Amino acid sequence: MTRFISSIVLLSIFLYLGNSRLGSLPPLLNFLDPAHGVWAISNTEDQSDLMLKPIEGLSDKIQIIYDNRQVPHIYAQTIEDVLLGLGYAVARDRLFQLELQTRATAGTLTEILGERVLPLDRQARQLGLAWAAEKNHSELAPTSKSYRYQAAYAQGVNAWIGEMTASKLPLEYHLLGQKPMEWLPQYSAYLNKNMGRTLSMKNTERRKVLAARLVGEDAANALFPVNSWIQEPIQPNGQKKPRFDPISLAEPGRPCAGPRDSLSDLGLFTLPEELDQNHFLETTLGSNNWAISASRSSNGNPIISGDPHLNLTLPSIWYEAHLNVPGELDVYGVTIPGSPGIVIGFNRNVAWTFTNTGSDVMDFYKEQVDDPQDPKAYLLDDQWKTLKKRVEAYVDTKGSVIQTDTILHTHRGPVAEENNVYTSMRWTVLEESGELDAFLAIAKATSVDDWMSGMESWMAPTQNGLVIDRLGNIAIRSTGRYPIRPFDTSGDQIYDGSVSENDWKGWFDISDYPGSINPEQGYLTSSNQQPVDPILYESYIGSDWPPPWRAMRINQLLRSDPTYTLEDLIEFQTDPGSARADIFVAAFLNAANTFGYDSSASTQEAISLLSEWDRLYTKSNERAILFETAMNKLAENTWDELEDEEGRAVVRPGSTVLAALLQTPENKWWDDRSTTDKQENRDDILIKSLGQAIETIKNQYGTKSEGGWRWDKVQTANIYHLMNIPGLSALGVPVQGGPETLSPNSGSGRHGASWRMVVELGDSIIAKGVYPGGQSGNPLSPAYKNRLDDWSSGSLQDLYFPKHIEEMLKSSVKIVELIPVGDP
Amino acid sequence: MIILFLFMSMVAGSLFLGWPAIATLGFLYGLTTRQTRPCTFSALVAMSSWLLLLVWRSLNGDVPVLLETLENSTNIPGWLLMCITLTSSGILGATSTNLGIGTRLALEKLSTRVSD
Repeated sequence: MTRFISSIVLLSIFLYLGNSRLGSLPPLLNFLDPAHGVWAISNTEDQSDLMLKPIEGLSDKIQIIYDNRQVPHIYAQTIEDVLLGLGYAVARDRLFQLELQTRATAGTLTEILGERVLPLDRQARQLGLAWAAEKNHSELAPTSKSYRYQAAYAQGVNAWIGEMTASKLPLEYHLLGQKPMEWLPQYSAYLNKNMGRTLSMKNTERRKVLAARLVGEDAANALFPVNSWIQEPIQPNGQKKPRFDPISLAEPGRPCAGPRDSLSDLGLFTLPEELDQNHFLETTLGSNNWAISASRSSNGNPIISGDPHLNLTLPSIWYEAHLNVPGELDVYGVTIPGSPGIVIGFNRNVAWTFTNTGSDVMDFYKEQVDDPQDPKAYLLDDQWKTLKKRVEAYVDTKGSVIQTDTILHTHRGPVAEENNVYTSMRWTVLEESGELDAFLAIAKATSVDDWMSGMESWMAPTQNGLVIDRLGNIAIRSTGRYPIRPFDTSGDQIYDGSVSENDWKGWFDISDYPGSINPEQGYLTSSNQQPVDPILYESYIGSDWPPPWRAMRINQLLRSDPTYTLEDLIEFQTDPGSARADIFVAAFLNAANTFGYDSSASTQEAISLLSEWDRLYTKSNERAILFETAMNKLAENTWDELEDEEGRAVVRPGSTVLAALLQTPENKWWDDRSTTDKQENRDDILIKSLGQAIETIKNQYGTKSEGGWRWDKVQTANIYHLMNIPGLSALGVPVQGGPETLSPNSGSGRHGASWRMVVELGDSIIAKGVYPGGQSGNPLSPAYKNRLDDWSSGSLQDLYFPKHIEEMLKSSVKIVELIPVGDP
Repeated sequence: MIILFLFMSMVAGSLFLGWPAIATLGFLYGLTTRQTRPCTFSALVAMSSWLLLLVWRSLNGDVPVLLETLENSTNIPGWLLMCITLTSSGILGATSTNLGIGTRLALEKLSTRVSD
């Protein structure tokens, strides 16, 4: 009996340990099982040469033919079938990415990653992204195109999941000890909401309140202005160079009322990373696009260049595909896994791309509630209205509830509470959605006008859609819903929520959207700058615009020659020049001349080194690091009034405002608060910053002669795996470009050019493109990061866009046929 | 012969049912065997069966790439993971056989008491 009991105990201990998570490792018995665990995925071949897969409900076969870049060319007889094929192909290559993105939007990451990601989930659910997507989906008629297309895509994803064996289960699931979830049709709508969060969650109101508590309202308004003082707008304004409007920045004044000790806590609807100090570095989340008309093209064909800048991840946010339905659809481009459509791409007649507009589509309302401790109603026009409640429960990997939140809603949207102050939010991203319809409509467009019509259903996030057609037309429009605000107010303030007259009054008419068709200059471009010159356009559409430096640079390049080739446009995508450096280097050197050489030896060395710089962020450059460090010091030294008692930056204006401040050398912003015996001016601070910079980089990287100052040593792209596993990431990737160059590269190196594409629409279509990574999300696959070298060097790969399936069949590498059940 | 049968059963069982097959077969072996050192035999057979499956995997796939990827993602050397895999099967085989023996002995004792 003793042996019996001891043997039970021994086996139980072993089974308990073998089925428990040990640190970051999954339960070992399942994980290491040679037949069903991680060893099963040793076969890195992505699929056999020809595979037949029966699918329920198909009327005809779908052919997915892979080319040698592992791009699926999907041929089907109906739109639904081709989208089913797309769902299947995307799931085959990117299943874990599909699930992780969806869970990030839904706020259910804790279910697979555990409690450590609870703050991310709580923020997603507070915003109500999934709630809004579910609402949109439930309002669709089952016969509507959107409904049917999402359902078809989901069927494709689930077809792959249904046939998956352990050997096809992505590595990440093995590492987490999880199985894939079923893909629901509405998850495609989740993805659109998530893009809205990434691209249009701009909380200038919060930053202004924080600034006003430190330096007063006038100064805060000046730091986050409605209009940029440098005008190089998207909609051409007839100028041949950027316009610098005269500006005098309001000086720091008396702080406004508000609890200074809780400055860093004012995080209403704010992404956790925004509260990080690194957030103050120049952001690179933006994009470029440009197009030249036939008249500006060397061989008479219009050419378009697309270059969205987003988070760089492995696998990439993008997935290349070619969709073909004879007589109805023939489109090539990139899709975002989860989206049933091509986002950026081309067909036989048009090519298009997007940049983010960054308009203000999110407003805040301070609400009065009946009981701040347990609110049940909010005041509106002297009447108490019931607050709707949404209960959100978070569960961990074992299915146990670990947290419950009750989210309140007014008629405007979700409510956030902080220190018993209740603020509601209205945001276009949480409202109607027509983006999926737009994706399909523009994919079928035959002309610029047709494409513009297709984009009319686009709601959010607002995008600068650039398009060219085979006839030589070019056009751009900043498309998406712009709210009409009460009393012509600008939306960069927090409204009183107790009166309904502060609510939005409607939407701009599409004819009022900023845009241009076939401008006289023969080209169009956008780089997230203020879309339209405020002299020509009075309506408020946003504030605190991203710096215009990239726009200035590309306009400078596109004005320099009468005609360009496709190769020129490719070269521009990684151009190492910087309009920001042009302005600030001149300011540093002018300060040195004014200041004289009555400075330390190291400062003199810094001045000498900076004067030698060609202001290009090439990989081998050894001066850019000095300039960038000086810029960081300059921001720290200048904006010291915007620090809390512990010396932490609370908010920080962009470099456009810093450039504006250069115009007023004696402005009090330049004064160093820590010195009481002297009031510093602009040149004092510029020289001080330069001196500090050279000391800093010598301490950090050694002297220049030691070789550690090379730009590709100090600033690289860091492309992390979706789970931030360093071993599955591509870290320290050398790239040409720096902060605010056309190919931006700064800070953590986790953002940058996510998809570079150039298309020339002539008798034949010449299309090239690349993104960092590869088509496969499987870290074991040769196609996991096989495009990285080309991306790093700025080269583009030829995109294969065959006219007929026969051409494809001749050159294909692999074929998957989805066939109706019962077909031989 | 019984060892060969156990080996083939463990290979097939692992293929279709995974690691529970090792535990089940080990237990049944312990319950029925009269051999000396049954736990050692069971451990060696279980390890051999999983080794065969790993060899088969390596012939049909790219194990070095997988080992490198696993090392990159878990920070545990790939060879060590392989050793842990084989050791796990051995422990699983031995402990389940031990339980089988324990159960048999307990049942025998029980039946002796009943007959007394």
